Amino acid sequence: MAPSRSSRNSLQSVDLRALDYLASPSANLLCPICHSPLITPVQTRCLHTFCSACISLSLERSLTCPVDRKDLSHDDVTPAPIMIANLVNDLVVLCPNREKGCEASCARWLVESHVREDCGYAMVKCAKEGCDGMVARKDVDEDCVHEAVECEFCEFAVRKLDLESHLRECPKLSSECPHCAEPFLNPELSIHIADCPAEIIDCPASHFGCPYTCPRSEVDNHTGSCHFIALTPILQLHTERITTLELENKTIRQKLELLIPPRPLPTPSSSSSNPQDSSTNTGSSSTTRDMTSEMQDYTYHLYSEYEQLRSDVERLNAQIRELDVKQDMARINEGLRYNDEMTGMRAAINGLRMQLHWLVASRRDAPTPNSGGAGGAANRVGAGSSTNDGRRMSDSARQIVKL
Amino acid sequence: MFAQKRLQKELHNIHNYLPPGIGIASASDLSIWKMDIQVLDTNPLYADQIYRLQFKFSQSYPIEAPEVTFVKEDGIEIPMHPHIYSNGVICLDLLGKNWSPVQNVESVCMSIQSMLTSNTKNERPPGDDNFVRSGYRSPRNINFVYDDDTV
Ligand SMILES: [Zn+2]
Ligand SMILES: [Zn+2]
Ligand SMILES: [Zn+2]
Ligand SMILES: [Zn+2]
Ligand SMILES: [Zn+2]
Ligand SMILES: [Zn+2]
Repeated sequence: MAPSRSSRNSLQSVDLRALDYLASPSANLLCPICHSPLITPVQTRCLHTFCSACISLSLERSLTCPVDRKDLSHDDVTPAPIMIANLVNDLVVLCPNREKGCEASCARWLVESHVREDCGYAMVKCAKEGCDGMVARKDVDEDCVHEAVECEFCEFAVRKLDLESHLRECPKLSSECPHCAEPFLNPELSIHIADCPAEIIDCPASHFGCPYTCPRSEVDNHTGSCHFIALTPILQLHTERITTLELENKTIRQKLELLIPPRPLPTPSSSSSNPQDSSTNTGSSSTTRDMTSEMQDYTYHLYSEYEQLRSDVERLNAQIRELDVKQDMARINEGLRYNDEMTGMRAAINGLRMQLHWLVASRRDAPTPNSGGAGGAANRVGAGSSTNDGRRMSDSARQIVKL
Repeated sequence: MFAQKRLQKELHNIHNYLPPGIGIASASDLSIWKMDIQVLDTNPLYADQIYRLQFKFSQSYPIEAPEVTFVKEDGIEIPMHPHIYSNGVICLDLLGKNWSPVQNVESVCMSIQSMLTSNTKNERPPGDDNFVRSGYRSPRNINFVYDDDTV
């Protein structure tokens, strides 16, 4: 390596995210957010690993871990174990100047110094004293390409770097016409091309539909026999007429649109605004044309106010609809919840009723084992009344349930 | 740059492998993809139908969720579902407040596929007419209530 090379550092910066890798790296070393090998790996409290930049971006949007959705703050993010950092830094990447021709590949942690100090395709300052230009490192020992040299044909001063492109347009050199292949001096070429007899051109009446094409020099033979050209004057007239009619039609339609939606306004007689081509003015539009500009302003004003009101109403409508949807959802949710609650209550009441039945039955049976008779004992009165109470309760409970 | 690199990788993976019932229709431009999905079991609502999803990625993908809608094209309809409006807008919390940058096109497709597979109701969301008429293209504009945990 020549000493002049290594002494010149390139200022080209390396975007680690844009690098391409020699082999596809293990999936364990990929960041779950950018899907690239980790850059400055960090670890979260929940032990997930991301690029430092990726997780910061994600936390700005939502304070949760992207993988498991656990709550996470910026303080819960710490550098990943050094081993992980070493693994990703050792991955082999291709030189970012690969497209310019550098075939080097190296460990990722070395790529910045490769570009800064070694890469033959990185741009460095020109070696010549006092020259501010940049040059690829591999060319740095060549003569300075920024100094002006004289063009050998026109004696004009050009930078060496630009000589090649200058020769393409040097005024003392000639280039070929793309149509007739004749050589012409560069400054005269464009004048010739505009008029080259060999250029294939369309018939002058092609816009009326003539499909004929021929070299410019032969076009006169065609124009003598072309039917389209013979018809050109009349076609031209028709086209003009259609254009004016279209224009007139458009203005009339605009006025009609203005007049129809708002109430018709009385026409104050005053000088006619909007003078038009009188040859195209047929009688039909004469009444609408009497509108004064003042009135037009007034109509526009009304119209814009109307538009504004309409958009207001639309906006309100949309808001109402949105609220409706929300309310519907809320109501359905509430309904579901009530249903659930109701089912629970029904079950509870049923349970209570069962218990009550059991209690009543055991109460009825226990004190008077010979309860078959109709004889009235003091106990039975109590038991009977409690049975009635129980029945009533369960009945009313059932009614509630049915509701 | 960030979004592009990741989308290139996803596209590469998708061309290598996709789960059954999911296919790529087009991704000519890295910012808009179209994916085809199919419900694989015999759910009568969706049997033998192919539906087309459109993904729109912003520059901040995957930090921001992509905009995912069903699209109507020749012979392709919008599937019937209580969370899919008839203009193709999908109400899926995964694409809104529950988005996470570890999700990707494949996982979103699979979520939507299973959302269709598990559905039994041949209906649109409540307020579909109003929603479609109001011209919302994104459920983010409306505070939709994600009420159903079957999604
Ligand atoms: Zn986590
Ligand atoms: Zn990352
Ligand atoms: Zn290099
Ligand atoms: Zn120089
Ligand atoms: Zn010259
Ligand atoms: Zn020529």
